[in-house]
Parts: sequence; structure tokens; C-alpha cells
Amino acid sequence: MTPAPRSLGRKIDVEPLPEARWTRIERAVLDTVGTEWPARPSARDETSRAWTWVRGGGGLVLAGALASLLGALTLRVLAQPAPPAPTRVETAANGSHVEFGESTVDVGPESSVRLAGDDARGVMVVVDRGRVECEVTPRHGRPPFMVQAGSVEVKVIGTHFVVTRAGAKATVDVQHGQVEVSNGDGRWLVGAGSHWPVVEPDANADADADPAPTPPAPSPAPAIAPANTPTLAPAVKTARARYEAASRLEAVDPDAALAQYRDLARHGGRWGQNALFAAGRLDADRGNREESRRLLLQYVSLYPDGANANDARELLNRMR
Amino acid sequence: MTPNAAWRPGTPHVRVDDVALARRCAIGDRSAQRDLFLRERRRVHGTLYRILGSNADIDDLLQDAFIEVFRSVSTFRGEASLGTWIDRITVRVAYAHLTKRRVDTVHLSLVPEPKGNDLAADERAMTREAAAHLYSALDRVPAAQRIAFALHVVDGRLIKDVALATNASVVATKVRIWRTWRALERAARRDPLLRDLLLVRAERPTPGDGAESR
Repeated sequence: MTPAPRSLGRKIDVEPLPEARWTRIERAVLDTVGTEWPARPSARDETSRAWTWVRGGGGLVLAGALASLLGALTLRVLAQPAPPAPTRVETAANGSHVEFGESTVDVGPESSVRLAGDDARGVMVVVDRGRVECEVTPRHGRPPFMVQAGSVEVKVIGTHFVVTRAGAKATVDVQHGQVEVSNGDGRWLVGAGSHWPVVEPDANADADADPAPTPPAPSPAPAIAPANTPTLAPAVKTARARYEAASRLEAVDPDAALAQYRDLARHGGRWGQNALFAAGRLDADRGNREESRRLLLQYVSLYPDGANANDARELLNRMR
Repeated sequence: MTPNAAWRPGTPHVRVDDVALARRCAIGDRSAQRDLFLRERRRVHGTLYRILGSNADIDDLLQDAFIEVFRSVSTFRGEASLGTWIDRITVRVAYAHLTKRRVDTVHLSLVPEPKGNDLAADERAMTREAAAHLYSALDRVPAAQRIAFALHVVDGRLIKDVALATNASVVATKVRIWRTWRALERAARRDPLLRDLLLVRAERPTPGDGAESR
């Protein structure tokens, strides 16, 4: 048999399932999971692991040590609380003040919020509607305090901030400290006195002059006006500017351009995505096939539908 | 807080929305669970299909895999991408199926299709039949070998990704694939259809070869 191309999968198609069967499967899965929720696998797993360990180690230690160890482990297992069930807070005309572990959450009027977790495991606040104002004590290495509002996520180490959600839109105002806001387009660090998302007044003005792929569409204007003057989040401007600078550098100092692309790629987002492809392309241009292949494969795997995905695949094919 | 501080070139890049989606699923957010199901269903189906071939139990297996995903999603910490993490669970479900019900496999595509005058359709039917022969031959291969072979040779995944999904070393994965090749080649001597199918094959790894070849 002559060795030849890639995979048999090109010959053997995966037979698609009809949508009706998918619907049945989905309903069965979600119904099963729904009846079990809130699932508590962590506590069960930890308990089971602890007892397995005790059984396995039983023959290896002295009887006295075993007794004390067993006692200690038993206490530990018994003391291991199951994750608390999520709490839902729905408010009408008046808001509500909730103390959640060491932090406080003020739920605004006409809001719907779910709170889950605890200080040891991390706190997750899901804003389904309305507004929450959070005062988070410093986490000191513990899992973060997170707020989810639609596709927007706010990760906190210790600060005071407000998240407002109206439909699919969400805004963040930081009173003090610093939070990390992320959505499908990237991550931003938002500092004290700042508002997210930012409004880029010149975004359309220079769009035609920009030969590079377009930046992440600025998040839609907030439905609720920010308390402060909109502040430009440095990450947005910097990412675009850095990409353009790296692009200009390609002709005169490709090493520096490559370094900038790679650094930018680490930060993800639309410009990080572009930078990852650009780094792969530049490496290919310079004959660094292995590195280029690695970067382009990474691009294709991370962004299979990305703006440059087809170009990346074509480059990869050419390098074979 | 530095965004993506842990990311280095060459390491898996975990999408922010992976972790967020997993968290929402873990707290019982039904819409998130639905999003995850819709986002990953083709991946899970593809993985099961490549490993098991056309299978009468595929609906049950898809359910098992997703239920297991949702039961464990609170343990997802974002060390790998959510897709890779789901792959591992899917592989475990496939492995359990192979080891528990090896003899019961039904190759649906063995049922002959009505003849037509469309050459492409005839070719597709032949390929389907050849695929049925392949999976019949794979039924006689140990489950771990079959999974490694199916993911690498049939599905075209990188060996390192197969190793990750099967929780095995790269070398062990290569050995499994190589042994499966040998078993299939033996079967192909008596089976022209299988032999023709295997003519289109990936580069064959040799045990002990440390390179991450395809």
C-alpha cells in the first residue's frame, strides 16, 4: 500500500443527524441535567477521592497513625461543605442589599440576579436583568469574584464597581480598584473612575484608511448613560495602534514586528487574532516554516472562522 | 491583573468565553447549557462517529456524553480549551461503550442502498461499505488502539492532540496507532475493499519516533 495523503476522514463522511433527533437528544440531556441541578460533583469527587486514599493507605501505616489520620480525614470530609445552591434575587421598585461572604452586592430596582459559590470557591454573580453594585473585599489569592452580564464578564480581585444590563447590552463603571472585563471580542482592564464599553469617536473616520482587518466593533452605546465621562480603555487603542506599528515595522525591522505581533497575540481579542495570523505569515515569508506552521495551526484551531482562517489554511497547505 | 498572563506561544489558548460558559452551565443556567450543547454537538458527534463508525446507539451515546459533560462542568478550570476537555469525556464514553458492548455493534451502512445511475452516488455507497469493513476490522482491535487510530488516521487529528484526548503519552499513542495499522493490513490482505480504502492513508508513525508527525 502506498502511503499517501492525510486522513481517511476525507473519504468517510460523518453521517449528519437529522435536526429532529438533535432536538430529542438535547431535550433528554437538558431534562436529565435539570432534574439533577444543582449538581455537586466537586464535593462528591473530593469525598470519594479522600476515602479512596484512606483505603489505599490503610495497609501502609501503623495502626495508631492510621487511627489518627482516619479521624482527621473523616473530620475533614465531614467538614467539607457542599457548594451552596445558587440564590436568585428579584427586585421590584426597590433594590436589595445582599451580603455574600465577605462581599456585598446591592441589587438595583427591577433587577434579576443569581448568586452562586462562596469565598473559598469563588463567587459568580449572573445579572439577568438590571443593575448590581458590588463591593468586593480583596481576594488575596482566592478564586475571583466574577460578574456575568450576557456575554460580558467582569473578573474582580478587590474593588467597588457597578454592572448594568439592559437586554443584550451591559456596562461597567468602576469606582475604585481595577477589574478585567471580557466579552467575545477581547479583554479590557478598566481602572478606577472608568466606564466600559468605550465609545471611539473616530472609529468610522479612519476605517477606510486602515488596510488592516477591522478592529472589534465597539460595543454598542450603553442603554443607560454612564455616570462618568466615557474614558478610553487603553487596551483598545493600544492594541490597534500596536498592530499598525508592527505592520509598519515589517519592512524595516521584521524581528521587532514579529515580537510585537506575538506579544499582541497573547492578549487575544480581534487584534490579537490578527496579530497571531500576521506572525505566522511573517514567519512563513522569512522561511521559518516550523514556527510559521505552529502559529498558523494555532490560529486555525483558535479561530476556525476568523477573518484570516482561509488564508491561514492556504498557507499551511502550501507549506506541506 | 494581566490578561492572558499564563499564555505562552505553544500552549493551548483558552478562550475567555469557554470559562464563562462553563461557569454559567455549572450554576444551572439553562440557556448556557443549551448554548454549550449547540456549540459542541457536532464535535461530540464527530468524535463518536469517527471512533465507533455508523452506530445504532449513537443517540444514547450523545446523551451520555453530554450528561457527563454537564455533570462535570463545575470541575472545568480552563487549563485546556473546553473543546479539548469535552473530547476527553467523549473518548471516555466511547471507550466504555467499546469495552462493554463490543459484540453488539451494528453497522447500519451494511444495508445496501438502492442502485442509481449516479456515479458519485455509487462511489459514496462503495466508500460507505468500505468504511463498514474498516470498522468491522477495528472491532477486533483493543479499544484504546482503535480510539487512537480513529482519531489520528480517520479524523486526522495531531498525535499530540490524540494523546491529550486519551490521556496517554505521545509514544504510547504512536504505538497504538502502529499496532492498529498492522492489524488492519493483515485484514486487508483478505479484503480488497478495505485494502482500497487504506490506500488513502496518513503517514504512518513508527513506535519510538519522538516527532509529532501526523
